[in-house]
Amino acid sequence: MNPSDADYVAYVQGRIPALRRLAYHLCGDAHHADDLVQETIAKLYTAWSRISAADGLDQYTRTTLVRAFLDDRRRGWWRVRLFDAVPEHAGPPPSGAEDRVLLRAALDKVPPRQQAVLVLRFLHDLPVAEVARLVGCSEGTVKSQTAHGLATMRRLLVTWSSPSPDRVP
Amino acid sequence: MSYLEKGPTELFAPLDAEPDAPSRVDIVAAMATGRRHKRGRVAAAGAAVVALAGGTAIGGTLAFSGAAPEPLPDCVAVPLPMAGFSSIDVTGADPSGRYIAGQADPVWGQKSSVVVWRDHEIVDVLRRPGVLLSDFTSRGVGVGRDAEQRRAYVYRDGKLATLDGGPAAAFAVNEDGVIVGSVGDRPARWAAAGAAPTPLPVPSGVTRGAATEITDDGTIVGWLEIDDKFPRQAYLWRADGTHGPLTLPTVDGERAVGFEAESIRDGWIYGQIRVLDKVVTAGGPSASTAPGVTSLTAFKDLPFRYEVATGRWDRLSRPADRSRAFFYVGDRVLSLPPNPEADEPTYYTADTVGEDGRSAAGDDNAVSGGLFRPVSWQCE
Repeated sequence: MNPSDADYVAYVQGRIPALRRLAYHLCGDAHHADDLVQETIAKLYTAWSRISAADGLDQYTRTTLVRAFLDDRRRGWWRVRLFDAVPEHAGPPPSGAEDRVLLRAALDKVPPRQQAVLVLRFLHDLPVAEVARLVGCSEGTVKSQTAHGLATMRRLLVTWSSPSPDRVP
Repeated sequence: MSYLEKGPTELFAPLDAEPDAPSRVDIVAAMATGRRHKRGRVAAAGAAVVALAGGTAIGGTLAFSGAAPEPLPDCVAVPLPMAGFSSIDVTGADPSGRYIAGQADPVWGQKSSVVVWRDHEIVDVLRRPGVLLSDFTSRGVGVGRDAEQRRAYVYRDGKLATLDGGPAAAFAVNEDGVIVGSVGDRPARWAAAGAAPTPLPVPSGVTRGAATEITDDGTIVGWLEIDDKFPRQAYLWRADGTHGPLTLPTVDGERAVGFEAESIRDGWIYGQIRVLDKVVTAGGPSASTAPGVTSLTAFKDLPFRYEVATGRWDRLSRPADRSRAFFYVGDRVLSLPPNPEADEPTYYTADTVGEDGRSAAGDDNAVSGGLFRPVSWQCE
């Protein structure tokens, strides 16, 4: 193993837990999160000789992961099929579902870029300027996306947790 | 405190959890993928992979603490000659990758032709519109069907002949020449190319079905629709004569609703598990295109493999670069290099995979124009 590869392995091994955690927060699925991390570290290896000595390695890696998440949502892995009846497990989360389930369901309902902004700001405590760099937009956009995303989530959470039978969003 | 009263950080606190499954991230595979990106084609295995496979303490598949995995084979993409056609869709190949078949001018409404390559050279072009060959033996005997599945075909010595059975389709053939497919929309088996078909046993209520894969030991995989219910179910006819549906796994707490088998190799059936994702009620943007449909159900397909001998399911990763063709070596993704003659961004599909995981064939579908250019991948 050449020194550059050894550095890469050491770096990636150290960063995988944090990357998996961020990916899991973004997409809400552990297996999908691993796919995103796998894609990220493969891209990192491609660029390793150019950036390993440079500052901002963590930021490069996080940016790659966030962009992979956004690209993934844009490409859409979901296949929609016509169906003539509502299946048993469809719809909003069941009443009485724990907070985490409701929050995840609400987060999934907001557009991907808003999801990324909310996760990075409120689960990873990153400042607005840093989130703007990671997502690839202006600081103003981060602020407006934050406001829109939060408002949507709160509306959904209140609707779902109310006792009304008409709680389908 | 209500959701309106909580501050954002407090609101999100319950989501601050660790992933609820062990890591499947594979550093060795990531380095191999990255190396392919850098070189533009697959080259010899790098020193890092060799060192990791030799049992050093670092690297390997981090989800497992055992010995580091064998390095993945290296593959080379070989563009196949096109005999003047502008578009050929690869449809089948033999277990070694020597014989490959395609359908030239495959777009509906065109008069397509069957193309057969041997050792990357064209050996036959048969003007038979609508016919495609989906599987071969290593001796070059192919089987196939027409687009409407009215006739099943066998290809031998440069000629196409129909199989017995009336409205039928042939999907696969094993090294003993046993053919499987469907007759009258029911799963069927031909003991040999000249034999009459025999129906495969199915449970009551089956409205449609087909056998789509057969191994050399006689294990058959197919699908059934029961009482017209969607999605269709994967069904297994074992070599010992027993048969039954595949018992589907639970995925992230939800029972899977279907499985689409794609290939069977080394005792494992590879395919896609289908789970319900979410429902959009009518009135949404798509509803107007489907009169009478009351809702849209979204499924997500997740790659899995099923071990025939034990009934065990393994969830599989997806490739890091999804524009590339790929197949699975064991439970690991082997991404395939692009067509070296491709001159524009392109998506690839591997349509067939050799029995030993050392060959594959497929095509690219250029972003502009939608033409298929056939490619063979050879790995070692």
